[in-house]
Amino acid sequence: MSSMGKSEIGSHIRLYLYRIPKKNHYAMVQLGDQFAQMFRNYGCYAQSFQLESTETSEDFTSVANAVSINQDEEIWLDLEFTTDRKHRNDVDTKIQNDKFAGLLMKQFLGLLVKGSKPIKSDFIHSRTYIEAK
Amino acid sequence: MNKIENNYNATYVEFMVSRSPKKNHEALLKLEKKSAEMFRREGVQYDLFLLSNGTSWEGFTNISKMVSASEDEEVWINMLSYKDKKNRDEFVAKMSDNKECQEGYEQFTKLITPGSEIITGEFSRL
Repeated sequence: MSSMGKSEIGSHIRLYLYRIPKKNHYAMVQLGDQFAQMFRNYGCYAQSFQLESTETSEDFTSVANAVSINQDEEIWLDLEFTTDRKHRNDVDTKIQNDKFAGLLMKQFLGLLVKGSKPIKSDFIHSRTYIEAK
Repeated sequence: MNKIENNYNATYVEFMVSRSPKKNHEALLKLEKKSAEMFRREGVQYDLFLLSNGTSWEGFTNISKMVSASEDEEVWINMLSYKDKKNRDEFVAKMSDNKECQEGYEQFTKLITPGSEIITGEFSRL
């Protein structure tokens, strides 16, 4: 998919889900701004979100339980939107060669809850499968 | 601001992570199309994403582990994007009385792996 409609957000997303100590909130916000600007330069849109509520209806499990959060921690979700898989691969290649990106990643890992393992996964929009038929 | 950023301006998002047998792939896509149209009429953007691979970088975990997905299953993320929390709460209240929405949800629960957890979270944009 090379073009996007008004409400479309790209066919590929990369998701990061991670825990940070509450005391690192503002440092992570500042770092997130730097990541967003870097990705913007690569034509990619990156946005951070913070878990708002740990309440769910009875049929569901809160992500807070799934990642075993403590009282003094926050759960963050970062999304990176790219146009398609080729765009994702291009951005990855550029980042691998970008020293500043490596520095930001190091800072990112340093702000996480010690010993925690962030989740990182790539997803393709269902629209891609529907349009391929 | 680039093209994607311009298209995406939600400040409140809700996620559901689930796993389903691979044989239900087409049925879930069909349901997604119907749901997206229904939610769009209510001013809510609905997107369904399929996990594209089960690997990750060193030091990171793949989400397939969080939901304990097996080889013959697929991992999905349903993402609902709202203007704000108020918009989300009004939408949920309205949908709880909507027969079409209830039927869609029942169909969805039949298509995911029986007995599997649906992991959810509501997130605010920072």
